Amino acid sequence: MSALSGGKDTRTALLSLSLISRDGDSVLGNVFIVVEHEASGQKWRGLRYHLKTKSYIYSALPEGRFRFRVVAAGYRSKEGQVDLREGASQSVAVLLSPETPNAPLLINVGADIAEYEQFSRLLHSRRDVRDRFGVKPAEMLQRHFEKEDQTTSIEKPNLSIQSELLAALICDTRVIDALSQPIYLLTPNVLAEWLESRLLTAWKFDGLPARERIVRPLVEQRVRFYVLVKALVHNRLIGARLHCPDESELTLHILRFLASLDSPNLDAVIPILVQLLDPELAPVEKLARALLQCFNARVPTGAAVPNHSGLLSAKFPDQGSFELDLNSLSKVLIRDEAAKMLVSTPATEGADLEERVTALMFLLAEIGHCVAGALGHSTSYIEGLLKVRDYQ
Amino acid sequence: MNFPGRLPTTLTILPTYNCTAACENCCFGSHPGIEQRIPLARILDYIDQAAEMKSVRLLVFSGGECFTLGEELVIAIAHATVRGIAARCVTNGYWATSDERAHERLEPLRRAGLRELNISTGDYHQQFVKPSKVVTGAIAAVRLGMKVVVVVESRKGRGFTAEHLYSDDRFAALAANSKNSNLISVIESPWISMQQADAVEHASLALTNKANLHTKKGCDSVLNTIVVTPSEQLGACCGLTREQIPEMHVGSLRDTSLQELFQKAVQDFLKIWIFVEGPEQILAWAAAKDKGIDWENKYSHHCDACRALYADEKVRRVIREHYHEKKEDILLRFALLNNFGDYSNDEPPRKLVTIAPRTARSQKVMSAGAGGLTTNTAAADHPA
Repeated sequence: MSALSGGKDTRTALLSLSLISRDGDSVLGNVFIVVEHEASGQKWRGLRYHLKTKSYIYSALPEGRFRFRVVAAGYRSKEGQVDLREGASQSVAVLLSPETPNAPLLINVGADIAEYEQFSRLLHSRRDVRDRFGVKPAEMLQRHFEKEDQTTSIEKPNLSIQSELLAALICDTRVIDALSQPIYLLTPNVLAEWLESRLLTAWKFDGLPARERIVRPLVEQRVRFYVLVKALVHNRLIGARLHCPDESELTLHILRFLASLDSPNLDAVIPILVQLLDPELAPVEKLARALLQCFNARVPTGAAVPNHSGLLSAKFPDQGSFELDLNSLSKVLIRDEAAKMLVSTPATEGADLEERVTALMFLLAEIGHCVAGALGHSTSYIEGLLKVRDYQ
Repeated sequence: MNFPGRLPTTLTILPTYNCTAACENCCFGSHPGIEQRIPLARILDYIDQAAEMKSVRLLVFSGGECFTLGEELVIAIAHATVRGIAARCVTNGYWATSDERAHERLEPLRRAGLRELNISTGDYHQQFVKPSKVVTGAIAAVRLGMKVVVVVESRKGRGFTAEHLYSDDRFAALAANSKNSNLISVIESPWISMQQADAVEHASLALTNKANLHTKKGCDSVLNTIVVTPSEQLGACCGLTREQIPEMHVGSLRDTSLQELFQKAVQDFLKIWIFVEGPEQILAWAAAKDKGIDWENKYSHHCDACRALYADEKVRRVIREHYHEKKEDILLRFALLNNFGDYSNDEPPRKLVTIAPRTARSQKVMSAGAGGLTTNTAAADHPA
């Protein structure tokens, strides 16, 4: 340890740490230093590097004893201490020793390659692009595992729910179609028209170009969303884990869900509303909200002004009885103290209600956990399908 | 052994850890005193090798501060563009000292083919680069038609947030212009500790536990993005803590090709497992086997959890002793994932409609225009 000459500030101290490897080189990069003032507990972590002295500088330090800890990738962590006098500049050379590496945690699957290749070969044997998703390779795989196979040494694997779900999704032509078909093949035009009219009612767009640029893609996103949610609810595996509402109920719910996206208040209360009024739809609601993370289904913030005077109710042509004044509904719900209490403190409204709500909450927790657990994965798989992790 | 279907899509080159800034807890401990740098000829060679793999479609230049490469950065990006590889640069924006200067720096890069610029900022970065430079750089890039992602450090008790960017009139105007809505976005990304756990605090809601475990996904970086470090090692991911995980260093590119090293990496079951399920799920699984493993409410970021997975001797032991219980399931899912991605090298994928912007990790994204935080994700290569 040697004192450096100088120090512009006569009241504060300066500490200079140079890090040296065993072979005498300066250790640079991937270095993390903590300098702590023992008396006050104050810490410094910055990396102010001094080119000339090849050292890390800690200036404006108070006097007293300092502890320092150096963490450098590839080296053993090192600790030390130094006493600084008021106005002093001190240099400390820290010798770092190479870290003794752990036995690397590498698990070579070379021995399992034959097994893996069996999986891959089965999947890749579908040369035809259409067959690739249409021949249900995962089902083939499962059948393959289930029978006593005489031709391969593959044993029946213990498939997790995630693997089952993934297999079920990627061979579900409805799911794949929802993601790949042009929207005019997905649903009747009336849905797109209804979605467009709702968007134009709920928002004021700044000029025709903005309207064109924002509304059309949004309508497409929402149509896909609608079709995809339906496809997922009807998926064999997902359907087996949640109550599958009848078609009209499902349609109504997804339309209501989409409508709520244009009203922040409503967007917030719809999940509560569903839990209270349509507990059996709660898992579908969760599914839709999980999926929403994959979709640009909302009007981009700042791209349009909410049209508060516009009615959020709208009639969907194919659903004669479907008319929701959603704004009114949300206002009622927001103001309804009983509704709030029902959600937050269920044990206030008498035994029947208490029992009903408690049972409902348990049921929701159970189903919600199951579905959300599955969807946490299915969402990522759908993201995979959409290739969203790739650079666009 | 060539694993069918699994090839990297992104090459990240970290040409140097030299940086004009020296941020506390920078993931690579970058600072101005670091001199090591990959020579241009080697950078071009790595781009050629990546192009030969055919699966790589994106080249990311990060660091360190990649703009310190000067003209070499332009040459390298042009080299990638000619080979059909898109380019992204990650920078702290130090060069955007004025509108004119920013334009001068970006215009040659744009002509070379640069289409996306990521600019990092936040409390720590701002000790070295003022937010006004970030805004100037973003404006210049958008004017040139580049996509800009501003990445803001996120941690508990921070002073600067994404909202503050929008309080800059110029940035607000840029974001409010509907012409730019597809070009500019702001991401909040966890700033994690590289030394002591208490060095960076995170809000409790951001931490992984049993209640939110189901939302944790597989790692989209490992085996998907490969990294060339300044010491010309191949990294198997572009994670923030990769330098602290020896197993993520696959080998030296000075004596082995990029493709060979990648094939070596993809034979490691643990990397495959991390790709399929993510480090948080593995930690939780290990904790179920050994109650002494403490994992809840500690990690806010994939990479933080991954570092813990590799560093905790208890976790390592459980993995070594019990990995075979997961092997078949994980390998099957890996095969399935590869099958419907577009990574396969023997046939074209079915065209799927993209319905969301690029997403990857659990980070908050603000789209153009103020307000409206939505849960979304973004790539993890933002060490600048």
